[in-house]
Amino acid sequence: MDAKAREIDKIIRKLGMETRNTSDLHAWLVYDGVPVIKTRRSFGNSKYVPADKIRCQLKVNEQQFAGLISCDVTKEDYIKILIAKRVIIPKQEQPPADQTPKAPC
Amino acid sequence: MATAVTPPSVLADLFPSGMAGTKAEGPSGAMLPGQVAQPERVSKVEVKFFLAAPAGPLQTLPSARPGKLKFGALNDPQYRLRQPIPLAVTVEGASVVVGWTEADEFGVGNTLSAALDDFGASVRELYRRIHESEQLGPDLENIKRILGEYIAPRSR
Repeated sequence: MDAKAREIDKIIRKLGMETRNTSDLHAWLVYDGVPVIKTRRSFGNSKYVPADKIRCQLKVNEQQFAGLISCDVTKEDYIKILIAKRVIIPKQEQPPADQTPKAPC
Repeated sequence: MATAVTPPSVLADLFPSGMAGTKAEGPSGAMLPGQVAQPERVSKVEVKFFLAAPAGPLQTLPSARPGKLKFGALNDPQYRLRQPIPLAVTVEGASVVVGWTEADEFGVGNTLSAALDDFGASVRELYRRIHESEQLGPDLENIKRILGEYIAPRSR
């Protein structure tokens, strides 16, 4: 799978992620005021974009990742995916902090 | 282990052993004798050249780039490493990618050194940002815990 910087930018814009420019573009998905997902991409269109690493950071499989790039997966769909993977826990059912399992990639 | 590949062969002239047209010693007695082969060829013989070529695992030369390494240079005035960070090193296309699976973090560069610099900058930014937030999602909370095992603020 190959993803270019502009495709990652497209995902970041679509999901409305908060961004910060340092040496790289760091992006955070904030849900209900809580950061839940982070990713980043290096500046420069010629710089290699490791799509698989970014896909893992976004907690999606290859099909879902392709859907995020191609618009088949909307922000609402993505939120549902993260809720199903317990990466997002809606506020009314949040467990104690020490019982939060790591979501598989 | 080495295996023989199909050898090239040539027909070569075989001359009798010994030398002809030589003098026992030079005019002054100090010169080495000239060495001239016997002019009469005995026969033609087939000569085969056997080339030894490595086979199996030895066919690929060992790489100087390790597959795994431990990152120990955070290069930050505010933070230090408690312990080295284990990284997997892969080559994707013309780029080197180092990855920290436990924290889903990576670095990319044209060389291993550049990839490690990229990784260090990324981890520093991640540590700062993750400690700015009072509340985090479960996955980021887990990453914060992992970061805490490896990185600590420097004492002043």
